[in-house]
Amino acid sequence: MSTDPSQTALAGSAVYLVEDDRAVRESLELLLRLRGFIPKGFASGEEFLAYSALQRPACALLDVRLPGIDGLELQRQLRTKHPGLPTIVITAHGDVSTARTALRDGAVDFLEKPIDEGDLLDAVTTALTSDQRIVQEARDREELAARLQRLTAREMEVFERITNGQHNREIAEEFGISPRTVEVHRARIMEKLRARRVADLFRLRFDLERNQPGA
Amino acid sequence: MTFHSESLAEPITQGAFGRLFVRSAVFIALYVLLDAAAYTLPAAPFAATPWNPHPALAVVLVIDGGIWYAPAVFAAVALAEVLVRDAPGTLLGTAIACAGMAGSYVCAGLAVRRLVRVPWAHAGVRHVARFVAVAAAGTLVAAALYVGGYLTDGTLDLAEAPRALAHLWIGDLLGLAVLAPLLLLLAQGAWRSWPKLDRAVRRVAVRDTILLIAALAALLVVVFGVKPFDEFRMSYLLFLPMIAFALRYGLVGAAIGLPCAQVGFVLSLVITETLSTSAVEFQLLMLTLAITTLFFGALADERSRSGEILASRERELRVQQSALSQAQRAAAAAELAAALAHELNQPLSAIGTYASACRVLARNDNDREQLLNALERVAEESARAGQFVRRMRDFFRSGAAHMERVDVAALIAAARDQAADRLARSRIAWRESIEAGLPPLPVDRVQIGAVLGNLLGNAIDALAESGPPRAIEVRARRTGANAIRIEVRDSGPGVAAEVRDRLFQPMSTSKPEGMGLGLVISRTIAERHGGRLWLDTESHQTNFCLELPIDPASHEH
Repeated sequence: MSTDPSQTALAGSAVYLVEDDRAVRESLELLLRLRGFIPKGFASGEEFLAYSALQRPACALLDVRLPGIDGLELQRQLRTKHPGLPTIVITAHGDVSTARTALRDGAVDFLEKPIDEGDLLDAVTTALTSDQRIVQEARDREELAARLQRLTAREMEVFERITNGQHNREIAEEFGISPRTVEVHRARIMEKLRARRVADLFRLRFDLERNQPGA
Repeated sequence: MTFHSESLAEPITQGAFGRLFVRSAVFIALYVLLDAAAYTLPAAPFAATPWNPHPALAVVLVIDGGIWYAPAVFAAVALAEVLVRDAPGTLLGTAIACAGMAGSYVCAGLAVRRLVRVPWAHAGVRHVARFVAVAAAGTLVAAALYVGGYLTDGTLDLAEAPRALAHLWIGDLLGLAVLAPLLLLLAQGAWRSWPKLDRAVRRVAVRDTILLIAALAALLVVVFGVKPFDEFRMSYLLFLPMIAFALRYGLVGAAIGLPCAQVGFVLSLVITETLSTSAVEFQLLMLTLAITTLFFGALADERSRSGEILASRERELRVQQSALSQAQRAAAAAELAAALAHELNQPLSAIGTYASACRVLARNDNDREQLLNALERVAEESARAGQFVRRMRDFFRSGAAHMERVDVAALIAAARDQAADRLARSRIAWRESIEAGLPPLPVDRVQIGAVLGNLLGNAIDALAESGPPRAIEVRARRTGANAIRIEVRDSGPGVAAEVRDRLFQPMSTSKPEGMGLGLVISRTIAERHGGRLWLDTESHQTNFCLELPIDPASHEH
C-alpha cells in the first residue's frame, strides 16, 4: 500500500462501481468506504447510465463482463455522457487484449480479478487525482468567465490594453479620456477581477487565452 | 518388363541384347511347335485349324518386348510355314504370305502396346475393348495378306479364298482372345503376386479353379456325350461357369478359364469327331464366349477397384472425423477451463477484498460488528466457491451418473430457484404449465438440473437484449407412451437463422466469455439419458425442447 487515501484530500470522493456479481460488488463497496471514499454500486451498465445524480470529482470502476452492454461499451458511452470521468476497467485474469482495448479507449488503469487492494487504491487514487484536476480546471475556467462578465464594455477594452502592456497615457489618448479616468477604470477592473497586483491581470489574460479555444 | 515404356524401340544394352536373342530363339521354337500342334487337326480343306494359339505368342512377344522382336516374329512365321506346311506355294507367294502375316502380328502388338498402357491385370473395360478391336483388325489383315500371297502364285483358288480367309481370321482371332490374356499376364510377371496372397485366399482360388474345370468337363460331357439335343444348342451352357469365374476372379480368372474351356472344347470336338462338320460354328461360339468372359472379367475388376477406392475414402473420412472430434473435445476442454477459472475468480476476488476490508476493520475496536459481518461474507463466498467446485465435480463424474426418480415439477422448480435472482433483476415474468399426473423421470438430478439451468440462463441472456414485457415460459407434457418433453421458451427475438445451425457446436458462442459449451454439454447429457435436446425451428421465438424417456430401458433402439 503506497498511500492511505483516507488521509488525503481525496477522501469523500465518489467511486462508482459497475459489477454484476453481488459479492464482488459489495466487498469492493465495503473496502472503498473503509478507505474513506463514497462508493456507489450498480449491477449493470444500463443502471449506471440511467443514474443522474453523478458527483464530481469521481471515478468509475467497470467490470468488463456484464449482462447487457459490456464494460468496454459502457466505457465508450460514458465518454459522451460524463466527459473526462476517469474509468478503471476490471478484467478477467490474463485478458490482455481487453485491457489493451480499455486503455486505448482512455481507461486510466485496469485491474485483474482477484483484485489486489494496493493496486485498487493506487488506481482509484490516480483516477480521482486526475478528476480533481479536471474538475478544478473547469471550475477555474467558469469562475474566470463569471468575473469577466462583470466588466463593462469600456472596462473590458481598458483591461485588454493594460494587459497588452500599454501605459495609462496611451490608453487615455486612444479613447480621448483623461489619464485620471483610466486610473479609475483600472481600480474598478482590479476590484472586479479580484486582482491585487497588475501582474495578476497579466496572469488572468494568459489563462483566458489559454482556455479560449477549449472553453 | 518394358511394358510401361513410352517409345516403341528403346535403346538396347549388351545384356539386354543377349536376353533378346535367347527369348527370340525360345519364341521361334515355341511358335513352330504350337503351329505344328494346331496343324495336326486340320479341319478345312485349306490349312484351317479349330484354333490358332501361335499368333497370340507372336503378338504378346511384341506387346511385351517391342519392335526389337519383329525379326523373331518374321523368322518364326517363315520357319513354321516351311517346316509345318511345307511351304506350299512358290518362293514369292510364300514370302508375301509370311511377310504379310508376320507384319500384321507385329503391327497389332505395337498397337496394343500403345493403346493399353497398363498391366493387363489392371486393365479396364476400355482396355479390353481396345485389345479386342486391335486383335480383330490385326488378324483380319494378317489373314487377308496370307491368303492374298498364295493367290498371287495360284496355290489357292480364288473361289476358295473367302472361306480360307474366314477360317484363318476367326482361328487367329480366337487364338488371340483365348491365349493372349494369359500370356500377357505371364510375361508381365502377374504370377509374382500369387505367393503374397493370404493362404486361405489361395486355397479358395485353387478350389474354385478346380471347380471350374470340373464344371466345364461335366457340361462338355453332357453336351457332347449325353447329347440330349444337338451339341450346338447346348454349348451355351458353358457361359455360366465361365461368367461366374470371371466375375469372381476378374481378368486373371478370364485368362485362366478361357484356355481351359478352349482345350476342353477342342478335345470334345476331336473325340466326338464333330470337328470337320461344324468347326466355324464352334469357333464363333468360343469367340463369343472369350470376348464376353474378358469383358465380364474387366467389369468385375473395375467394380472391385472402385469398391476399394470407396473403402479407402471411407477410412480416410473416418480418420478425419475422429481427428475433428478430437479437436472439438480439446477446444471444449480449453473453453471449459476458461469458464471454470472465471466462475472461481468471482468468489475468490470477493474473498480477497473482504479480507482487505477486515484488515482495516480489525484496527478499530468500534468496528467489531462490521468486522464480523465481513468475515461472515468471507465464509459465504468460500462456501460458494466450494459449491461450484463440487457441482463441477459431480458434472464431470459423468460415467457414474446418479440416477433417481425425480418429479418433473421439482426439477423445474429447482432450476427456477437457482435463476431467481437473475429473473428478478431483469424483471422477467415466469410462467409454467406442467401437465398433471406426470410420472417421475429417472434422471441424474444434478446433470438434468444443469441442463435446465443452462437453458434458463440462455433465455435470460437473450431477454437482456429485448425490451419489456419479458417472459420465460416452461412447459412440461407427456409425448407418446414413453417420453416427457420440457420446453423452455422466451419472449425474446428468437435465434437468428445463421446462428441456429451452429448452435450445438462448441466454440459457437455469441457471448464474450465461454459458455458456448453449455448447449453442447447439455445435449450430451440429454443423449446419455436416452433423450434429446433441440431447438424448435418452427417457433419464431426461441423454444428449446428437452425430451426424456420415462423408462430408458424401453427407449433403446
